[in-house]
Amino acid sequence: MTDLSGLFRSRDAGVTWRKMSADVERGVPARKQIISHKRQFAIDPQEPRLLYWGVCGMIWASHDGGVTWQAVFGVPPKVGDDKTPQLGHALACAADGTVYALDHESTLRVSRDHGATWTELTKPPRAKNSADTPAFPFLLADGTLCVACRPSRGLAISKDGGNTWEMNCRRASFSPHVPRRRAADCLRLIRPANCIAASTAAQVSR
Amino acid sequence: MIKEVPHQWEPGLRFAGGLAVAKDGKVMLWAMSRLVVNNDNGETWTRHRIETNWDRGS
Repeated sequence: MTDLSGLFRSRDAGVTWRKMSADVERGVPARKQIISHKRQFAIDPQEPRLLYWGVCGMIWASHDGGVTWQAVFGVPPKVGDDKTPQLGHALACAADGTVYALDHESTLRVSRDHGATWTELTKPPRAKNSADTPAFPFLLADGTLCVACRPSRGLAISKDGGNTWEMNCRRASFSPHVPRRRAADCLRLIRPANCIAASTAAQVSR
Repeated sequence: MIKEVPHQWEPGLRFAGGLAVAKDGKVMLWAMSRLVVNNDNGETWTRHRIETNWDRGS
């Protein structure tokens, strides 16, 4: 999240912070590999103490809100392997706790037991990956699994949990469910009558 | 629009920032390592520095 290395948690909307990544730092001697973006972090929507972090080519899981972490997939980079940080796994957690992880080679894996075991799914089409705009999985409200294939155009869509895929390149097809990222990067509801939005131009509106 | 912070985003680049809302209504906006917090429905914003307001945890 910052030039400071590691994962930090704030319980007061950003006023004070606590470092939550000591276990990961102990497990990865190649510290410069511990970099990530927000799509590499997922919280179980039903059990918010279950956290997942796809960093340094591995997947880490916490079952206690980030206090402790266990490596659940992959092996740590070798000591001294600091020159080329890897693209980590981009993660998404479904409403039922199923976790999807897309690696830097666009291989998609799923875990249905909170990270204990992982199964490889069909590779989504055209999911090219890059450091600037890494591809990432996400889920629609009806459970449809999607992979944003930037820099490829369109979305890869799976209605059977990642076994088969189709491409959808029509721009407005998903506008009722997915906010257009250029118009509103994220929307948050403050109170029932108030909605606040942050755009990709770092502007906040209500 | 109620708040704007410096950024370097342009089409085709990943936006390195975010917005979060706490249960009590506090709003946090973060972009380019600048972090501001609001507690009055977007009227006033206070800058905070994670670099000077963190502890090491476990």
